[in-house]
Amino acid sequence: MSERAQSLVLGVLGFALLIAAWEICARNGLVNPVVVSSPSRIAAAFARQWASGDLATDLATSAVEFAVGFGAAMVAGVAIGLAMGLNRFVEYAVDPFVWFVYASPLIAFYPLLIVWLGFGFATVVTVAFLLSFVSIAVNTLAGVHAVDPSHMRAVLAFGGGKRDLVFKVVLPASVPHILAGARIGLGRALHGVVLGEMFGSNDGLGYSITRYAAQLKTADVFVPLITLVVLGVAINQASGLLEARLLRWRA
Amino acid sequence: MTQLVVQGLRLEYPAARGGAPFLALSDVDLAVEKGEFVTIVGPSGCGKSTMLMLIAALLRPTRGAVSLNGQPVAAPGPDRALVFQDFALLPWRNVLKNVELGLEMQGVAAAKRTDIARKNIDMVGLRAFERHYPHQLSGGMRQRVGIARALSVDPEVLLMDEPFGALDAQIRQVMGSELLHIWERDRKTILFVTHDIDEAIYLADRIVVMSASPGRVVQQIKVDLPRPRGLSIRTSAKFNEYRETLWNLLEEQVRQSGSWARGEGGA
Repeated sequence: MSERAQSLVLGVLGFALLIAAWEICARNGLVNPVVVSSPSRIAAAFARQWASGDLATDLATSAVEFAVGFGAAMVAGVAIGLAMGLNRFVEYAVDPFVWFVYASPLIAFYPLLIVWLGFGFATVVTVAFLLSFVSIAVNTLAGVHAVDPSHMRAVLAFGGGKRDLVFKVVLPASVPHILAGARIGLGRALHGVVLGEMFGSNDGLGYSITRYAAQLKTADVFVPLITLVVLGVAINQASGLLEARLLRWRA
Repeated sequence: MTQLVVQGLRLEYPAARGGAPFLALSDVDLAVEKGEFVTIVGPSGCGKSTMLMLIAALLRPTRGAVSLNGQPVAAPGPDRALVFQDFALLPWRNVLKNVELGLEMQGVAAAKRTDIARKNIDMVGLRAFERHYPHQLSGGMRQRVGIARALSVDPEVLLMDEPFGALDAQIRQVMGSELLHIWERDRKTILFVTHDIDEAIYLADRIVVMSASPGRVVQQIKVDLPRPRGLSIRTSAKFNEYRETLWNLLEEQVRQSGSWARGEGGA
């Protein structure tokens, strides 16, 4: 068996063992199944939420909020990072705000956000945006600063102008940094969606977690929770694949 | 016909805090004929690369002027194409796209760009590699891409800044002979900076010897060796005479500058 196959088989096996042990403990009263729940109860809850359409609604709500929040963060982060990197005055002017947003525990602002933006979509998207946009902007800025002057010289030597410098050198040269920022931003945006939904919304996977937990429906809590874990893993994998494809040119 | 004229070219860098201004290039005069292959040699740091950058208009002279076909040179342009020592290829572009770079700046249509680029990639022998990225190529191959990129814009003058300086000795000789091959087909004017004496003789119609810093032209030597030149010409008696003359000239310059004692590097 190849090393890859070994790691896969053993990984799956270990996971299966854990689930089996959990189920056995729950059935034999070693843990309280009402509090801790069990794999079979969670499976049943999953089927129930799927059949009622609740899960699909939650997933759709969270996915849209995530896409809008992260998408906006991506556009704004790259644009602001580029502007900061290309113009010293913009950098000095914007820098304090960027670090303010980066350093502060943003979730403390949720009551204000609710007052300003209302309960629901706008607040959730804003939290996701604020959490993810700084890592994208800061990484883009680092990318612009790391541009190799010899690449700029090549474009200038052949008669290129400012526009050519930005679009033929600075932007493509910054792609590895931008992607690194985006990778961090993706995780933070997902965090933002869940937090936003928990504190500032009546919809989505995050809200369902708090609601089921308040009702002590432990098995039901696990359904949106597991969905989020799977979503996080899928997003991470997809971004890894995209990164590999975009960075083929690197040694 | 005189094509490129450099007149009283001077470049002075303003003083750093507490220091004296640095004179990089001191009143250089040079005239280059159309189709001539001129090599420029001089001690490290003498400003020979700087002169090339001034002709390319990537730097602005403190005084003096450069003119091409009687027109003053004010900005970089496709009439003077540069080949860089560090290749300066864009790593995220494959060979074909790198060669198309200069044509893009000129606004040549995409299909025509590809045609021209392919023709030049063929000429430097990289047909099979047009989809490769720079990191997948050897140093010699990368510089072939650099040469193809420069030739693609069909320049009046090719400015080559120690183009083979980063390559090992054998590849360097092969590249030199291939460059002559290409040059003999369309006889573009070439200004070629090097610190390799053999290379300077082997390639040139005329060698310009520059002084130690601040750089000026000390002497110009016409190279009267038959063309086309094979690699074996390097062992001929006449080649040896040129070599000795150049060695003596350069040794004097290096001693004067004292840079051999300080162990300075760079161009």
